[in-house]
Amino acid sequence: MKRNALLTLWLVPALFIAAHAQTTNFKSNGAYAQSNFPNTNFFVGSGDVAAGTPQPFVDYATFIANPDGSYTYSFGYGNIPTSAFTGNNAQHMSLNVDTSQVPGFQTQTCTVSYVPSYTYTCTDGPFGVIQLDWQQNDYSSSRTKQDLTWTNGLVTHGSSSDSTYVSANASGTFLGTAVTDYASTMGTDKNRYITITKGN
Amino acid sequence: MRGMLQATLAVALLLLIQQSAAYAQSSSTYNASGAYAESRFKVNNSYVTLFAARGCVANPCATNSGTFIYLFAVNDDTHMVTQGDGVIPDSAFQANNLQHMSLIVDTSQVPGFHTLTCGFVSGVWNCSNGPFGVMQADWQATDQASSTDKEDTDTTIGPFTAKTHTDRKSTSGLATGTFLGTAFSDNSSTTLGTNKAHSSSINRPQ
Repeated sequence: MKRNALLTLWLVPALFIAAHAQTTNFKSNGAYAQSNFPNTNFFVGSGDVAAGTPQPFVDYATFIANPDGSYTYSFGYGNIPTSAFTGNNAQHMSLNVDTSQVPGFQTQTCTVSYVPSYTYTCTDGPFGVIQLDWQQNDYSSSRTKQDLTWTNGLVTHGSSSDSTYVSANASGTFLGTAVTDYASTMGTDKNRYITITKGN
Repeated sequence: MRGMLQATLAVALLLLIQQSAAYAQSSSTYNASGAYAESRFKVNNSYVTLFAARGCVANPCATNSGTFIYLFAVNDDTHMVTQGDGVIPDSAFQANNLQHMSLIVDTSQVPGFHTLTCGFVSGVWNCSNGPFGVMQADWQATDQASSTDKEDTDTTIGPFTAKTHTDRKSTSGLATGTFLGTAFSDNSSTTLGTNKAHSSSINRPQ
């Protein structure tokens, strides 16, 4: 009886979370670029072809530890206009998108605090302009097959990829902040699958 | 005529031998299980990858005892490429706590530690030993993100190649320290965690 009660106590929150989780899937073939800016992981891929048109998408996450011990993270993902991502050139790729103008783009900022008790509050946004350039720097070339799962706050990413890529320098602006990363990668995906699961 | 042909063949053979010698390779292979930390950072205009882990030279590698590090650095001005690796004292890598790890090693004092720096001159990679020196790193978990990663990667960096298999769990981290006398920090590409299974095979020019 006690065991059943414990099981129920465990299952109810789990079922609640499962019932409220939202899952989004992306598939990508072709060009992609990836950067780790300070406190920000960023990915843009050519996406899949639907009705003869590529469906590029953006996927990013940010994180900031606050002085009071709480932390704030944000995430953003969604398909973007085909013209926003130029990845035809193996030496240079670029992205220019205003996410506030992209229908259906998901972005949220959440603050998590543990004192005096666990609380989190989330708001939609920020939306804005992301303008990035990636330039091959000829330092390295790689081929990777990878299964990666990572969790940032309430968002879990699952990624399965088979990629050929080169090292690159990235620079530009991310939602109004100038960013650079000298350890970026840009290359070609052969069937990258990304699953994003967002709890509420 | 026949003598000229023989001389030509001799010169061609000599060039072939020189070319083979220039690209003769040696390799190191490590297996790892247990704690690891990895960072990418920029010092003195060089982009550095530094990896430290519990593990040992693959053959023999009867247990997961031991500790090794490897590094790659590419200089943005000179385009020189540096690669280093070797088994270091266990005490040099403190990793009992997955929230915090630290490294302090003077590679000039580590017997058998390889460091090679190569430049591409007139179509040929010219390499020399070094630099050796003190590397000190402090890794602190930020818990920004946690991840599981299964990965097989083949990478070419200058005249070096690396073949890596990884199966690990990690968390994001903040790294601070000094690399050959210059301070660095990284909070964008640092991870620390546990290798379930890891192997790295590094080929370098001799």
